Amino acid sequence: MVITGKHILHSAFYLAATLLCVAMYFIMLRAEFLAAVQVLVYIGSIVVLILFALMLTRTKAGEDTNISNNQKVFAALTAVILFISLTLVFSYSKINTVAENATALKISSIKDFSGILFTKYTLPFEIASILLLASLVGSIVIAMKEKLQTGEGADGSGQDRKGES
Amino acid sequence: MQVQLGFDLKLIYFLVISAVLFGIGIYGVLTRRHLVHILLSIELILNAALINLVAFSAFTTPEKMTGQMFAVFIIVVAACEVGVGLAIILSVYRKKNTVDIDNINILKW
Repeated sequence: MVITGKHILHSAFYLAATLLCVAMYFIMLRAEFLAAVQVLVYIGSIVVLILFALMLTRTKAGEDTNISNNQKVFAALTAVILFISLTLVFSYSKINTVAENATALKISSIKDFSGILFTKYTLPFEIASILLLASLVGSIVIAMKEKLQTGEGADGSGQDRKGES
Repeated sequence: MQVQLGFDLKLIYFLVISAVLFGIGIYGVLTRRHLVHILLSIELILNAALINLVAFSAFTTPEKMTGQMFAVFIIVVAACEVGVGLAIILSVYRKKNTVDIDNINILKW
């Protein structure tokens, strides 16, 4: 429904529902912290950011903006072939699973999670923070450049981005 | 704490679900003409990868949590990507006054 929704605003809301379902799968896989992060970051900020962008690009409500090009058949073919090959690979490969079902897994607590994150993965953590800063500055610069030249008043995106980080 | 479900959760279920999400995302990227819609489809593909990582991590090495770490970093990168992508979309919209990728051909010659 994210793909076939009538209007792109509806698609954004369907995307939020899909992300919520993915968060449910994370809970089933005993990754509660990840589920919380998924809800906060994806639904709380990314979907909201997308809605802001839709409003800034003046998408009229009610207008059918769900336009597609003339490659539907080939795209569907590609997607189905990819899906079938992925499923075949998954079903034929012998993955040695420690636990036969997820219900036997122990609950991964936030304490363990943060312990591993701040000891073993400290350097990637710092790199991720630098990446966030760089993308923040970059998105502000990209969104503000036109405004300096023409004086057009659409400065919402920089502030949105700040709120997200 | 153990929760007993009525059926066994197998790894293959999660893999098939992620493959379905991936296929839907690929279809969306290939067919849509709205720039923001393509971004939404890319989010779907990223989520398929996330499910795969967390499922493999939970079923093979649940005590190391490698997949969950990776998933958190993927979420960070996805947030960056969406921010920069939307800024680019805004810039393109102000320049061309459209978000239809069939009308955006300034890189073509």
